[in-house]
Amino acid sequence: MPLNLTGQPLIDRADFPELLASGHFGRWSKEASALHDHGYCVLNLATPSFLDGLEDVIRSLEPLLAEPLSLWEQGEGSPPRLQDGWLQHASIRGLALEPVVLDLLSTVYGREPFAFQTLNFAVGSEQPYHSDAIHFHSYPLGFMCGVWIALRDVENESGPLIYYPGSHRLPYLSAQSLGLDPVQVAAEPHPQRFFQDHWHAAVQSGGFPLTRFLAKRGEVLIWHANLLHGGEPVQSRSCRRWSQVIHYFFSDCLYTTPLCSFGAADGGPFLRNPFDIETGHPRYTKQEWANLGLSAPQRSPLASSPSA
Amino acid sequence: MIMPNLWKKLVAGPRQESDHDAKLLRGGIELITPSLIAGWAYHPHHALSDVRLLSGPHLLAHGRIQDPRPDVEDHLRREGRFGFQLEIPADLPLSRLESAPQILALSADGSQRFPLSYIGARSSTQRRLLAALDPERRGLRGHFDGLTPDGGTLHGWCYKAGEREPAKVWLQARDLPPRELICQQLRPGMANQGHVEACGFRLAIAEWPEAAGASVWATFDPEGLLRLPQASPVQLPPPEILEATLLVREREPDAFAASALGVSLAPTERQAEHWQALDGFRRYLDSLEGELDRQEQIRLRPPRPRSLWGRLLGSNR
Repeated sequence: MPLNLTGQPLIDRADFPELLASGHFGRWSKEASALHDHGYCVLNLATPSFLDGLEDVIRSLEPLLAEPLSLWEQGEGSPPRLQDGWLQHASIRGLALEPVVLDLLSTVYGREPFAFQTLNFAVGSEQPYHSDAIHFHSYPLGFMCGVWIALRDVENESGPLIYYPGSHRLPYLSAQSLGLDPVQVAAEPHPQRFFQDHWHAAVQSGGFPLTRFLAKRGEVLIWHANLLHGGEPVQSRSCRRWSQVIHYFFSDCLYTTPLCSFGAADGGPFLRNPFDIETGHPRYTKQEWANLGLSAPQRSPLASSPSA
Repeated sequence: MIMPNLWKKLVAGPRQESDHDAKLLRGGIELITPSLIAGWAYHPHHALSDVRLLSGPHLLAHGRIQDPRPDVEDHLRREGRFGFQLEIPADLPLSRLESAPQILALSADGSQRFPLSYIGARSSTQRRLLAALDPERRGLRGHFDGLTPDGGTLHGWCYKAGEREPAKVWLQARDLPPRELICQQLRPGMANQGHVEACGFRLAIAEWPEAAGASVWATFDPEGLLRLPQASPVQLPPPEILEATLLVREREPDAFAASALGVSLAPTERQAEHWQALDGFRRYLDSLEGELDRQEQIRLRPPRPRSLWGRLLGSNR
């Protein structure tokens, strides 16, 4: 597994306009431009077979989430969700490996993508807006993205997905860049809070417009690793927002958790060996991992994963 | 029976060709620091375009062979852009490298690859690259400025972006143990150029008397493998001059301390008295010289013709 620790995603490159003009992105030129300019693009995959697949996912989720949903409707607990349902449900796995999405990602990023995590929701996540790139990122930078699929039409009261177009060009952050030390991070149950003020200030000063995604069934939002996004507060707890989020990395990189990455004196970067949903195994074998100079695969120290 | 050498040649025919090709490569690596590798490369049969830093199969950094190097053009007696610079990423997350790193120069189509060595010390190339890629050191940048304008202090700067602890450098001179210096002195104006300001290092030459007369340089590592870039060679004054400096230091500790800190040197009261006395002495010497000139002019003046009375009376007048 030769690593290529150089370069950038094609959509982030300084010569992106030339690549676009040369026809490099083919049928994905519009999507590549949107990702480059705004940090996201929208696809409509509402073919009959695709929509059938979405219904399969909901059928898988309903029995699993019935009890937590009932509690949620009664005002208890946080919005229910299922992390890494691909392990048990072929429908969720199938959606994560959707060939059209993989083709688009491969073309606009310039490396082969692989899905490493799924999250399924029945209601709005209500998550404060954030950049995924503090939770999972890559070296070289930028080879990570998120995909959100509307399993059903989204209503305004359900707490729609929100995002700030253009915010993907803000600097990438990490615990090190914020001057945090490992003790501080370990002591905070939700270390994302350390970054929240910074993002608020960036949104204010950058003048990024708040945008809601009132998606139709079968619509897919693909977002850049650094795009600020979250979930609006849910106005009606009886209102569903069935969705699936898939996080992707790209080939030949090292994968990190910047939220737990510090300077060399404090332990250096936090490297992770993500799952490859297609193979069902960690991306790197134990031997490959050991060869990289790491004693054992590191696991994400986070209690929860980001979502929209 | 086939002779062993001939057998080797027969078996390793293509490799011989490749070795021959490799021997035609000119240039190599001139500078290895923890943030930058620089040098030049030229091959008479292959247009070289890329340079890569690899560790085993892993590509760690790459650059282009495209920098103008008039000195190399003169040396090769041909036009072209033979220089390269390769940035070592400071945030490379590998804690150690799987295998020894190497720098390759590649032809435009990638079919030809030539390992580059450190010019002047080829066998040390891998040791130097490993030292540069050490996670503790990776990303350090700096410069050795040489002597301050007053000639009394060695100075320069070094830092690693994003690190709380100041960097260290080592001053080196042949046959002397290295002098460790911590880089935390203020360098006003550095921030304007995108650097850290508290990154300076200084050493008064009187603090290093054993290096008098020696050529000195600074390195990122105590072993002396990674030199800080410097504009020109730095030679310390010979022992007698250094002795005089030490004398001044002994007599004028305040002034010397000021010099060592890089503060502008305003004369002390005692220095001002000395300078006034010297000026008086200079004026005395000037007047003495003027008088000598006048006497010389008189001596060289042509003799006046003798008067009639003088001639009649036999006098010399």
